[in-house]
Amino acid sequence: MIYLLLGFVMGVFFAHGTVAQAGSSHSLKFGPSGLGNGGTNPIDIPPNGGQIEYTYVSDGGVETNIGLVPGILVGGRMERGSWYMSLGGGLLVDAIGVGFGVYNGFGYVTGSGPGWHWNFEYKQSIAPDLEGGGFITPSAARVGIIWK
Amino acid sequence: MVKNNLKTKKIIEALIFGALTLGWIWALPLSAAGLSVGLIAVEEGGDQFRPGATAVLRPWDGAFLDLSLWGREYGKVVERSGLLAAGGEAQVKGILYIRFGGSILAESTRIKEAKTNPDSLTDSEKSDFSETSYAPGFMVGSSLKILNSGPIQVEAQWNSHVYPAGVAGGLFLAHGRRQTFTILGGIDL
Repeated sequence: MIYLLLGFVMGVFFAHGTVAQAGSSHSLKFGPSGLGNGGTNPIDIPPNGGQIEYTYVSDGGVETNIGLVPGILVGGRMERGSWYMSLGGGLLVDAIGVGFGVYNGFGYVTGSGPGWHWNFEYKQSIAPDLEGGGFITPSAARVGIIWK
Repeated sequence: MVKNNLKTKKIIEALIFGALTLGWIWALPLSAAGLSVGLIAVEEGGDQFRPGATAVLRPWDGAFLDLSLWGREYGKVVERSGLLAAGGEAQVKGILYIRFGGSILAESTRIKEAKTNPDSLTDSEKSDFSETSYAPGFMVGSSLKILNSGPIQVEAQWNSHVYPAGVAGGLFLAHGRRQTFTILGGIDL
């Protein structure tokens, strides 16, 4: 739980004040997940449930990520041109276990202004494994569309 | 033919490492440089961490060259891995920085055969006892510059090095990764 709080505090700190988030956005991304059992498999056609993630970013730069892997995550997003970085915490899941931890995302959005754009993102995360001890480190590399 | 292929492979390996070494030397005399060394915990996709060592050279503000080394031995098997990454970093907020760049992973696995004299083996036979591979990719990460005033620098990094898996990596995003947690201490050069 301390990791969840730490991640949330980090995310809020990160988002507060200097976040250059240009309006709210919705994105739907697809791509394979790193489940803690070696390299990732290619994405399925159509993608399976563990390869889909929805993200909502508020006007204030607070993002909410919903997906099976890495998990349910809340954090802050900072944009720098077409690039962004996010930092926060939440419930993490991989093939080894489940835990509350922190995540760190890196993304790129094509184009600018309102409308549909392509979105590429990589997320890394870590949490203590609540089931078996040790750590879980789910990750994901995804491509999708973002609506600003 | 096999012997010639192995020689060609060794020449290519020598050229790669030569180019990387020249890159380091080229970067050294530039102004605003810094050099840090530290410890890393490396995760190789299996949720397990291994210890290693790392060095980070900053040839100028906003650029870096990372070299990380780790390995292990179990029984007759010796594994050695190295990462070389180069790229840029930018301040996000306060002591928090974003890092991004290119990355090369080199991995070597060797089987120790104490009773066999390596000099008595042909190159083909030697290849049965060792293998070295390289993977190009990209890296992203974040850095907390805990102490960044004066000549002394202390920072913590969290990086992911991502290596697309051939055509499947390009089209279907399949990849391997090396995730590193790093503690560094260094000085301005």
